[in-house]
Amino acid sequence: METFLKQKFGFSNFRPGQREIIADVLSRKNVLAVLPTGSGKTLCYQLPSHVFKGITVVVSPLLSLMDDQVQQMRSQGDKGVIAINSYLSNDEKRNILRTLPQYRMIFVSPEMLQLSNVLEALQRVTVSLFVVDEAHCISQWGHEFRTDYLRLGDIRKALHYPPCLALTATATKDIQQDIIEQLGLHEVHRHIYSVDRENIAYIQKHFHSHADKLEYLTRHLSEFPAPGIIYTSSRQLAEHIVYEAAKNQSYKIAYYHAGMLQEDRRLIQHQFLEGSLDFVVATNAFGMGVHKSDIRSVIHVQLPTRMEAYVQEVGRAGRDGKQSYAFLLHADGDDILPLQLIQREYPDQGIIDSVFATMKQQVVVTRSDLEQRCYEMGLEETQQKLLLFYLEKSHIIQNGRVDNVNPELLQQVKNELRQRETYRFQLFRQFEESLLSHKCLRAQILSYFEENLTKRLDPCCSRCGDIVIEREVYDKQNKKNRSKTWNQRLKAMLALGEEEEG
Amino acid sequence: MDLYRFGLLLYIIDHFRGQRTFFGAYHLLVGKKSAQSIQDGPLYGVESLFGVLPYLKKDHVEEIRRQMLNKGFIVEDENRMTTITEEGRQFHNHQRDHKPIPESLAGGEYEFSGQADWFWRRLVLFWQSLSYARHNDYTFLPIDYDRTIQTWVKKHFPRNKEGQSKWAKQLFHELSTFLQSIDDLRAEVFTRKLSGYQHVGETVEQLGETFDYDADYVYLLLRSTIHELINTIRENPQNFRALAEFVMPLEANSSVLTDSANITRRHLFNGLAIDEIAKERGLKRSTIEDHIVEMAYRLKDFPISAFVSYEDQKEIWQAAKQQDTKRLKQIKEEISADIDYFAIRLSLSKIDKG
Repeated sequence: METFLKQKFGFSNFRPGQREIIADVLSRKNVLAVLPTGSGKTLCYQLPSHVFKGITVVVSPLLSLMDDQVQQMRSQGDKGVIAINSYLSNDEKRNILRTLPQYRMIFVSPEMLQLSNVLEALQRVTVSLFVVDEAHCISQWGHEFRTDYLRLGDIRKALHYPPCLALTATATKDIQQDIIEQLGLHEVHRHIYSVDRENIAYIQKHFHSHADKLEYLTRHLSEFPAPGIIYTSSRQLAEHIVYEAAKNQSYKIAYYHAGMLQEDRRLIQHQFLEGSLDFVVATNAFGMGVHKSDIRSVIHVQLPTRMEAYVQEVGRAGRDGKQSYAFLLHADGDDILPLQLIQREYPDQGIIDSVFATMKQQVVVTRSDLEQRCYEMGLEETQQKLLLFYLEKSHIIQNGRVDNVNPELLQQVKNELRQRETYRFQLFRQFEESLLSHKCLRAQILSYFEENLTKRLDPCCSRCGDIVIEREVYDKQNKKNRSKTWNQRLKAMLALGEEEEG
Repeated sequence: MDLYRFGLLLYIIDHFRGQRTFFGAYHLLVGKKSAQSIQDGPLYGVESLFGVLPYLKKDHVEEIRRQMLNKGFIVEDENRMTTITEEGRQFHNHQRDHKPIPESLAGGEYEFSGQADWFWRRLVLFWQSLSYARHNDYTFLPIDYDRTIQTWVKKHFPRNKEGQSKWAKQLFHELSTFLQSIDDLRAEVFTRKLSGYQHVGETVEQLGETFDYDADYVYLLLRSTIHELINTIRENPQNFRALAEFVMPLEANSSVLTDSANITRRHLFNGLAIDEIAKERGLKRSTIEDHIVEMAYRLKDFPISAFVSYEDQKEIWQAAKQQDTKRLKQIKEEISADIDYFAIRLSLSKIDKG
C-alpha cells in the first residue's frame, strides 16, 4: 500500500487513521470514519478509487467545495474525476451521463441524486464504492441537517448496496448512530479519531466592547502568524477590518464574501494559495476546498453558531502538521449575531400560520403549490425545505399532495419547529459557555464531543499558560513587484522576449 | 465608500424622471431580464448601463435606498415612484465630472446578450493556460471552473510548442495594438485582471486601491474596455485574427432575446396569433405580450404595426408628448378607451425613433 501511495500521490507515509480506513474500504466493508479536519479524508476514497474496477461515487453537500476538489484533482493530472451538480447546463449533464463509464470518481450533490436520469445512469454502471462525505448532514439533530440527505439510504438500495464509506470530521455518538441507521449500514467498521488537533494552540482574548476588539485586531495584526484566515459572520465587518488593517503596509490583506464578483472571489483564493496575500477576512464560505497546508492562524472575530463549525474552521490551520494557532477574540454582546443567524434558519411563526391558513382553505393542493406559496410569502429555501420536511414527516403531505390538513397535526409541526430552534439556541449557549469558561480550551472542545483530554500538550491554550507565538518574518519577496508596465507584464506572462515589440 | 454606485443609481433615477421605482434602477444595473428593465433602458436613454454592476445585492441596495431617502437625494410618492432632488442631482453631476461613465460602455448590447462574458471568460482562461504552457508548467489550478469555458479553451488551444509560440506572439501583438489605442488607465486595469504564470490577477477592489478609484468604477472601466475591444474586432476582423476567435459566433448569439421570447418569436414567424401561442405554450396572454414588447425593443425594424395601427400609435405618441411622460397609466387616461396597455407599450418602444 505504501508503494502505491508514493507512486500515485507522492506521499511516503499515511497520516494517522488513513491506512486502517483504506484497508477496510479495500476489503469492501462498510465504514464510518470520523477524522478531524485537515487530516486527509479525501485520500480515504481517492486511493481506493484507483484500485477498484468500477466507479466511486462521492456524495458531497457543498457545491463550491466539490468544485474546488475536482479542479484540484484534475489540475494534478487526474482526469478521471468529474462533478455532477447544478452548476452544469443540461447539455453538459446529458453528455457526462452518457459517457459515465469513462470516469473513475464522480462527485455528486444529493439534490442531483434525486433526479431520475442521474440515478438511472448510475444504475447502468458498476458502483464499487459509495462515499457519503460530511455524513453528519444526514442526522436531523446534526448541526447541518440537509433534508436531501435523508434519501441516501434509498439511493444506496437502488444501487444494490455498494460498500459505503461515511465520512465526517465532527459527530457525537448519537449522530454517529443516526448516520448508520439512516444509511442502513450493516456490520459497520467504525474508525473514530479524536477531534483534537495537537499542533494547534488556542488563544482566547476577551474585550469589553466590540470596538476594542476590532481596534486590537487591526492594530496588532502584524503580530499574528501569517498566512491566516480571519472569520467574521458579516460582510460589513469583513470590509471594515480590511479597510482599517490595510493602513498597515507590512502585510497584504483582502476580504472574501458573497457580494463580490465570482471572478474576483476566485482571484482572492488564488492569491492566497500562491502566497501573495497574508490574510483573508472571510465569511465561513472561504477555505473549505482550498488545499493550503501552511495556514498558521485562524482568527475568529465572531463566533459561529455551533461548536462543529468552529472546530471545522479552526481545522483549516496547520494541515502540514507545523505549530499553528487558533485565536478567539471575544467581546460582550458577541452572542447577538449568532442567535440572529440561528433564528433566520427557521420560518417565522406568523408566516407558518399564514401558510397553514391557505392549506386549510384548500387553496394549495399539491406539494409544488405549497413550495410556490412559501416562496411568495418570503420563506428562504432552507426554511421552506425544513417546513416541508416536517409536513411530510407528519403525513400532512403525502405523495406530493397536501392531504391530511388536521389542525392538531399542524400545531404539532409548529411545535416541532419551535423545539428545534430552541434546541439550537441551547446548543449555542453550551458552545459559548465551553469556550468562555476558565477551563482548558482544548479540554472543553473535547468534552463537547464526549472525549477526554489524555495528554498534556505544550503549548496547549491560553488558559493552561502563556503562549509564545512562533512567527516567521514576513516574506517580502512574496509581495509581487507590480511596477512593470502593462506591456512588460503581458510579455512576462507569455514568456516573450524584449525583441517582440507590439 | 461605495459612492460610485450611489451616483449611477441617481443618474438612472434622474433619467427615469419620476416614472419608475428605485428598484427599476437597480434591476437595470444588475441586468435583470424582465419585461420592465428590457424596456426601461432604451426608453429612458440609459441602455448603456444595462447589467454593468451584476454583483449588486438586493439587501445592500435596500440600504442605499434608505440612505438616499435620509440624505434627501430622492423622494418617493405613494406608488414608490422615485424622483431625484436637487441635492441628488448635484451629487451625481459632481461625480460625473470626475469619473464620467466610460464612453464605450454598451451594456445594452454586450452585457444583455452575454457577449462580453463569453469573450472575457474565454480570453482569461485561454491566457492563463497559454501563460503556463509557455513556462512549461502544466499543473495549474484553472481560474475558471466552468466546464463549458474549459471545454472551449481545450478545443481551441494550440497543441504543440510551435503553435503556442505563434499564438503568444499574435495575441500579444493584437492586444497591445488595441491597448495602445486606449487610455493607459484602462489598459492597466485590463491587463491586471489577467492571470498567468507567477501572476495572479487583481480584484476590482485591489485595483481601486492602487489607482485610488471606487471598485465599481474600476469594474465599469474594465467592462467598457471589453465592449470596445469586441467592437473593434468586429469592425476589423482581419487585423485581429487571434482575438476574433474569442468573439461569440453569431449562431450562438440568439440571446439578443430572452430564451422564452425567442420561442414566441419562432411561433410568430410561423403565423400563430398571440392567443394561439399562449395556448400552445400554456402561458398567459400577458406573458406573450411581454415577449412581443421585448422584441420591439431588442430587434431593429420589428414591425409593431402588426399589433397596433399607425393611427393608434400616433395618438399614443401625442399623449405621451403632451403629458411629458412614459408612464402607461397616465397615457392611458388621455387616449381613446379602446386602445389597450399592450398597444401603448409597443408604441413607446418606437417613440424616439419616430
